[in-house]
Amino acid sequence: MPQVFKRHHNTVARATIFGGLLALVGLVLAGSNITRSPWMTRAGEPPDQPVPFSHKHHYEELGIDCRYCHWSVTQSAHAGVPSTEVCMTCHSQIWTNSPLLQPVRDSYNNDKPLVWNKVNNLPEFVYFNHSAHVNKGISCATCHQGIEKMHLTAKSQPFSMWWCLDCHRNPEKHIRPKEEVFNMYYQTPRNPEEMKAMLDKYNIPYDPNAIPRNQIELGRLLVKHYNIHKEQLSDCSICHR
Amino acid sequence: MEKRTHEQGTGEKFWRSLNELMEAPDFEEHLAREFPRHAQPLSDFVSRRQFLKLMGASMALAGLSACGYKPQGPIISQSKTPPEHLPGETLYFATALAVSGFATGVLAKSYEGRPIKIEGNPNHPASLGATSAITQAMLLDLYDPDRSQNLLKFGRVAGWSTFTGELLQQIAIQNAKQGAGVRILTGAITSPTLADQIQQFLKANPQAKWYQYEAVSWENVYEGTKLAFGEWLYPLYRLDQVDVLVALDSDILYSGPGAVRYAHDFMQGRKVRKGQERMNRLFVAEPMFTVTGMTADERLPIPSSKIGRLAYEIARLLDAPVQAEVAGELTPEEQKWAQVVAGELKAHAGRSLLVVGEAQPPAVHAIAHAINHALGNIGNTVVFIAPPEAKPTLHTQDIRQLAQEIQNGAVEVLIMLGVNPAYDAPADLNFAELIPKVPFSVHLGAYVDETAALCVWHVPETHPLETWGDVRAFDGTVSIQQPLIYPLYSNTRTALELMALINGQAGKQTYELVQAYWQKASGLSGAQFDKFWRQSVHDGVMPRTARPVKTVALKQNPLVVQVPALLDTVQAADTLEIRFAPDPTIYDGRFANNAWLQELPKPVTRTCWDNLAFMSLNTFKKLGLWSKATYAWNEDVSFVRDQVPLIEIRLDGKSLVVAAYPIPGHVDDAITLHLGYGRTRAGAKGSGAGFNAYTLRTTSNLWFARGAEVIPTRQSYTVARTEEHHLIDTRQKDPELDSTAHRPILLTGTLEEFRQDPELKNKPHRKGYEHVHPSMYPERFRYDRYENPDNFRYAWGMVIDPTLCTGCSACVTACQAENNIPVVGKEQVVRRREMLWLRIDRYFKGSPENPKVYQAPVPCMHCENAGCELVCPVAATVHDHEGLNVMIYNRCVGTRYCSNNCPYKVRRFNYYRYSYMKSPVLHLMQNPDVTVRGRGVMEKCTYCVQRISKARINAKRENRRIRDGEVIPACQQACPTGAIVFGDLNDPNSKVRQLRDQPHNFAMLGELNYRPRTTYLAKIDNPHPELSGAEASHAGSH
Repeated sequence: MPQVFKRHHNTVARATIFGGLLALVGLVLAGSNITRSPWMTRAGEPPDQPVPFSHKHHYEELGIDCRYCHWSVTQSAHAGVPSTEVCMTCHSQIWTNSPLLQPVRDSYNNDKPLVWNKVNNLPEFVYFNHSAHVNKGISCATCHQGIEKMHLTAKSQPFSMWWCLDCHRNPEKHIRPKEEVFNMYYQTPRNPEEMKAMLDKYNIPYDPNAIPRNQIELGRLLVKHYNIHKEQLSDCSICHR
Repeated sequence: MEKRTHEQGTGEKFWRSLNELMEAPDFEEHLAREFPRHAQPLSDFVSRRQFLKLMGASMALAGLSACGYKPQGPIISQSKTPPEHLPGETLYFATALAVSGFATGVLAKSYEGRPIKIEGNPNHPASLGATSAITQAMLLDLYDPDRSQNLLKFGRVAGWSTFTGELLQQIAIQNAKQGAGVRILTGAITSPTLADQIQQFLKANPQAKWYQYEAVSWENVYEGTKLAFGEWLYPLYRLDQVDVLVALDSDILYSGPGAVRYAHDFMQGRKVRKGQERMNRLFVAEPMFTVTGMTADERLPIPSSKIGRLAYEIARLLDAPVQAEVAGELTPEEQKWAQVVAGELKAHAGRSLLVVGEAQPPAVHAIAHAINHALGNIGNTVVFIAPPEAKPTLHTQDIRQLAQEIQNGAVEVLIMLGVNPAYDAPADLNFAELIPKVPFSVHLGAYVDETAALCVWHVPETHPLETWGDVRAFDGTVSIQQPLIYPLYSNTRTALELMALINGQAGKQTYELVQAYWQKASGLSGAQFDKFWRQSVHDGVMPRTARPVKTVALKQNPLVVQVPALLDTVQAADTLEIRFAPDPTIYDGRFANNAWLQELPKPVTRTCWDNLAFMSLNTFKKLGLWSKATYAWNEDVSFVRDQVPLIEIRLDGKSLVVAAYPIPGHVDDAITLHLGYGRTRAGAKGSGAGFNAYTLRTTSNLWFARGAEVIPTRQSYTVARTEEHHLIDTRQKDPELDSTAHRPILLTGTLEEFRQDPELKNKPHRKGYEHVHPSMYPERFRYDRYENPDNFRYAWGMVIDPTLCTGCSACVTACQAENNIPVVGKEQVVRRREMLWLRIDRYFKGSPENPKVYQAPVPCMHCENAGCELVCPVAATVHDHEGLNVMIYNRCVGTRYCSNNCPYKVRRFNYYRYSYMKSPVLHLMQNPDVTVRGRGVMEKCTYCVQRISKARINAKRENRRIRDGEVIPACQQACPTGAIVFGDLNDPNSKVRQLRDQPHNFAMLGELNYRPRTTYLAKIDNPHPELSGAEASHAGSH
């Protein structure tokens, strides 16, 4: 009886077994990475809008504060899309003939709302509250990173549950002094002098012998100072009702 | 009767239904199987094989669908921001909602311009911050997809110009003859502006007439005061001043315009706490249990026709200045009851009160006034005001006269504003046949109902939340109604607009009309009026508009009254009494299409979606109903598969086929029929439900009649009986207790027992409760671990005081409105799939002839050692750090293990897409702060976690602790009596903690060591020593 299995079949068998396992792991990894990738979450892809509104122009170039338009962000769950009235506070004076702003003028004159396309969306069973975040030192920049550079507005973060939980479990990584929440250019002070100066500036009590050296240490200080109950932040009922 | 072992036990045996008392096998099945057997198989059109195939395919597809990108949808910005509007936050507006013309002041919650919840207005005398179930449910009426939306002429859609033209032409013709052919029929009107409009018309057309008709009217009250004091007066009771209240055939704590206020006031005298060991006493004599009767300390079942005799006996014993000729004898039991009541009334003269229900004839009311006069109660516990209506009238007389005039051909133009006489007028008037005889009839109504179908024109009516208006409360206080939303349907009109059109003020807005009236009436102008107007609209009450109290004197001393002959024949044996009463939830039928009210278990009977012929067990047996083969399985009465027999009732030549239903505590030889059902054109939900009791109701037998004949039929009828749903096994025997004792579900005691031992240590419940096994498990969520109130840690908890609970069920509907709880319909309720998160368990104790009733509202207990959490395979129900047992819908896979393991049976499963609503208009009503649950998901009470979150975020923003009373769940908010208190158990000063530390606090099923966060206070009652003794021996001898 001839030998059915040749010697090289051992290699084939090993390759099949380990390769198969590897492929399986790869498939799972690929799957999970694909679902979290911008390809799936559409992060970075600006949807079409009735008016090509530029956050870069208004925030970075003109220096208008976030709260000028999103005025409810400190008091309400919603940051709020500004009413046409808000646009017209300036645009009744400048760029009054710009064809790009025709929909805005129409909306104002006819009392018809502008219909924008949603950029950031959460499922209905997730209850996010802007005011709870911006009043506790979580900046606009944390979730809307890079908005100051966007001509057309796109999602900059995946807004998936693991992404939310990452911060809810470790808020130290992202928290900053409340006063810096609307500053899109804020950076964690890099040396003790700067850190001390900032803490003094915002009246944040600290131990002079243990000045925070980095974001994590500053974060721990602020979490305590702002009465944030870290263990509670990953309770289901914090976001789901 | 060998089977009733409970009577040999400790006397603490509670039973929930007659089936349980009878130990019927059907009850055993209900108890053993939480999800009933007949609920399991799939419907016929899908076989098991096909189901599995489809299931596999849909699983595969569902997996694929997760890979797709979901479109984000639009954001619609505002063009102009309305003042005070904060995107995503709610606003409250004060307004008022009226039933039969009488207002309850409310604060309507508006989210982005949509009213989504009704709360009571603390400033309003009829509300004091609470509401009834009906007021809560009136929100659903606004969004009812069956609402009439089009102007109809003979049932076909027609245009406004045609209508206006025809109407004005008719009015012009009538103007020429001073309106001789015009009749206006309305419900009771308290609105000053609307009444003014009608009066304007009558002034211009002196021959025209305005009639008012309410099927459930209080004309007997007015006639009673006329007999006693010589004029029509409306009584206001001061129940917070009352030590002894005697209610004769009166549901004073539940029905009527002041009921919410009365329940609140009365319960002020029943808050039994340590160091506050006093309590008022409530005596009730009535044919069938009412909410008031369930609350009673001493109750006497007695036919309505004998109430007059009883009242007169009490008057005689008190030497009250009244003379009447009454025949008939009281039984020794009734005699004894009258004696005790008279003694109690006398002992608390000036702080006692005897009230008589609207169903009793005027003479009985007059007897009551004489009694209160003799006791010096008038001016103390009862005062009188001029009737709050704009034009008080006798409704039966009005409708009879109108019928007469139509019959005679005198009516050429009939304008009906918000009434439905074709359905609810007395049967002998044959109103439905009369309406077509009127050449030009106009009906204004929210539905194309029985009357609309017979009229020439039908005009759809605007909901009160969509329009301006004004209305009076039971004490006369005026509220301005303001719109919360632009009318959903452009064709709707209000009664006010229609009258303005008739008066030649077409095109006037309701706002202008109401404001113009009050400008005139207040005598103010300019800035002063603006201030007055803004204040009135803002507060929801107009200052100083309550009717002034009148001083009254008896017309003659002694009063001589004629008690109608009917009452004399009370002892004519073998004749059945029929008693008509408004339905506890859908009232006189106007709320028949309100699914919340239809599905709300009726406070007394715990049935829903139906009215039934309620009778005592003895009468049920006497009529031979148990022997019908379809539903009898032995000679005791029991419901097998919720089937009850259909009977035919004949009364004065009229007949009605209705399902018979035995109910504990009903007086023998009497049948109670609730009005409001059996409608034919109520809408998709109300049409065809129940039986039309109006077919037996005539002008002479408006409330009760004797001489009814009952003929059993061979058919049976399915009833949705929620009394046996979500059963807690109270009969399970604990080996460590007395072997005959049942599991003591509630802790109960009398005031006397409480005085001697506030902990009620000797009660069987305590023996079980204190026996808690020590556990090796770390007790992570024990509320008493964090005593320091500054640490920002909350331990939410609730204490329910069953002593204060009347069972009115306002909390249940409030919960439904707040938490987007779907309605499932009768067929699903029969399968025990109702979704209500909060149920009120009603327990009886004692003999079925006249048992004691105990109410226990049962929400999720939020157990610290929750059994549901341990068995969930996907951790969809877990604890949070504030002690809430949270349910994560998006994680739930629907195994239902949690519900199996819940001893309180408070979890609800979505068997179908109950919350899927085809009508887009219903989506407007949903609370955006609460997830809408889909099929296959378990849900339950969350302690209104959305309200906690809101308060927590507000407090965090201000860097402070949540204040006591800042989080009020929907049930607590609606409760008129304050029976539900919620708060932080870590705060030693919080109201809830103080109640929890009361000696008579107990945990339901505490022996299981689930450590529920919701606990109860003992139900304390105040029986009279002479009567309870008698009743106890009666129960024992049975």
